[in-house]
Amino acid sequence: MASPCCFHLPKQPGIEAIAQRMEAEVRRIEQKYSRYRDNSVLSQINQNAGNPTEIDAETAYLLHYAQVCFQQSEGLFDISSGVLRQVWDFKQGKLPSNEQLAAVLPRIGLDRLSVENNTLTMPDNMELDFGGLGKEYAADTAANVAKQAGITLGIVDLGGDLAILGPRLNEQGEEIPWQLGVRNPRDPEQAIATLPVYRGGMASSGDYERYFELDGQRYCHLLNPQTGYPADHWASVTVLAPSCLLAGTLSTIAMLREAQAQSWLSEQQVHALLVRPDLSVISLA
Amino acid sequence: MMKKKTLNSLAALAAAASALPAHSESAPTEEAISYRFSQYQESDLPAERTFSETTERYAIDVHQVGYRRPLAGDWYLRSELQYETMSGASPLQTYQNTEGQSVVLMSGASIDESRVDLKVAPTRYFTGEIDGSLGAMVALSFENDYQSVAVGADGTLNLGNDHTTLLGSVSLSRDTLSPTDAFLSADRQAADGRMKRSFSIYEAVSQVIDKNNVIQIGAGFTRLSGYLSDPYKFEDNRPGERSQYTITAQYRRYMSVLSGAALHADYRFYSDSWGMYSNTFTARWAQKLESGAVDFHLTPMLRYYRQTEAEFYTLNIAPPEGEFSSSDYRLSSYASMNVGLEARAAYRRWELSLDFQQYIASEDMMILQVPESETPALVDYSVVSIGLEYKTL
Repeated sequence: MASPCCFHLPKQPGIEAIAQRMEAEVRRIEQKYSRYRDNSVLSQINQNAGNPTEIDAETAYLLHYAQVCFQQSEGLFDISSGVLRQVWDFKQGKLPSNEQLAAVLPRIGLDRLSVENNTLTMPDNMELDFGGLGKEYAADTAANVAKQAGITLGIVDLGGDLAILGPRLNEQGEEIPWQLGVRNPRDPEQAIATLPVYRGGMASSGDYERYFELDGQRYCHLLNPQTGYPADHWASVTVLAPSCLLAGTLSTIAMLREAQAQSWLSEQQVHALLVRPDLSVISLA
Repeated sequence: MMKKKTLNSLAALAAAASALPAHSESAPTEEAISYRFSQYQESDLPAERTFSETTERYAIDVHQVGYRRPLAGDWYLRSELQYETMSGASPLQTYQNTEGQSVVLMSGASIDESRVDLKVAPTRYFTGEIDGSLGAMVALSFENDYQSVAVGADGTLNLGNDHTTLLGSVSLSRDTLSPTDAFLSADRQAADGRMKRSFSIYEAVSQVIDKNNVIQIGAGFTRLSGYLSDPYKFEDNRPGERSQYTITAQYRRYMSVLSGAALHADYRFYSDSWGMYSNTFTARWAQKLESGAVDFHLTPMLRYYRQTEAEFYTLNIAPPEGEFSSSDYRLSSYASMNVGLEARAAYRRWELSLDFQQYIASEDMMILQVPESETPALVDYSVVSIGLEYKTL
């Protein structure tokens, strides 16, 4: 994974072996769903697009989850939208032409993918990308390894996507929440706010991870699969949810829902922090 | 198949997320190359008990090159190439002389030999409904007087939230003897071209008791058949079949000492159809120490081993014709102590290891049932190893 990852775990006997198993799980998932490895499960699915592909239970689970994300976001969260990267050049900072967008948009649409009896079928021009799920899922999986080993305290941090095992305890044995910083989208090394978290997942989506500016307008990597253009209503959305995977999905969907994000997140009854481009903050509790 | 959007998306997403498949044993992701050099040196024999000029015994130099890497999918490959050179002399026979004292007759000429071993073992890891691994192994060994081919399979199956693991392995080997200088003895000529076969099976269950305690109990069976005598020894005539049974117990306890430590306590019981029994007790203390970017592991080891002799072990200089006999010290009643210290230092992708072991054997250490017959050919030895590993991935 490109971003810094760390585990905060209690110092206790055997913790090293548990941490190694956690790391092995993260690496396994990273390699299994890497776009950059030709022999990854994901690359093989993409290479075999157009033909039925047999998939394992874990991949079927993630694809089913991605389908539910697609439905619940009314098509905004779409793991087949990665092809937009082919026309959005964040290095050069150039806008794609309408012709370029028109060429890739028809390739997007997860409703054309089906999974039945562990067999995946999708159109031959479709390409999947687990970028919006993989890291969050890996954080939860690593946290589960620790939980199964009896660890009840600690944090798995995969590049800012957090799975929180459980709170610290004070001397009286009372739970002390972690005070977790939310990145300032205009100065990501600094916190714009801190949120108290006991357990579960915390994840942020924002316009600061990959972007370019052109004529005073910021274009970020969170692309709307229907328009082909980046979300620009919020600078970042941070969500607390029962798991890191849920937190990551909800924050990404909220970014893409733009003006409707606040009411939608309220419906979900989750704690969230929405940051506008002018750095004013809305806190949903 | 697609359902309508529900008002509470979180509930729908949480329901989808909760179907998380249980899985844990994953293929290792490391790619690493390693080299290890070991020097094995047997102590000289007591001169007053040696019926020959030579008291110097075996010295073995071992070079090992290991390579392991992930393959496509859930496959992982481990391989090792080993080259050994041996020199020195070995006991031809131990017998009781007319004064009632046991003496060792050593091979006069110094033996110079080399051996090449190659082992390749791919493993497939399974996750999902079945959680475990299945591996295969092929091993070849070449010596100028010995060729061996072995194949095997092994598997693990994790049950019940990964707290219980079943382990099993099975292997077959076929060795061919072609003793050097066969003209020197009728025994060597008789052994030429003879075969030795083995079949082994091992089953074990490993149970995590809690986060600090793990036990493993196992049972093994090995059947050897063919030419099992030692053609280089005098009056060595062993049965053509041998059944070996083992029961093992291993206990690991993790403790919070300095940067973390683990106590390993292992026990093994062995019995075979040649009338031998043995008990092995091994204790290790694995201590981790952290110093900046370097992780140190120090593991002292203490092992006590005792065995009872084979039914046909004899110090008779001329055992009766047609009866099984051997004066091989490895088939005698004796006990041994083994002390060792392993040190490892890991820095980023590098790991340096040093290992020292001293082994002493004596019939007097039996504690119970000290045998009447002496075994002057029992060997004391030391092993020093140095190894370096580099993780390329």
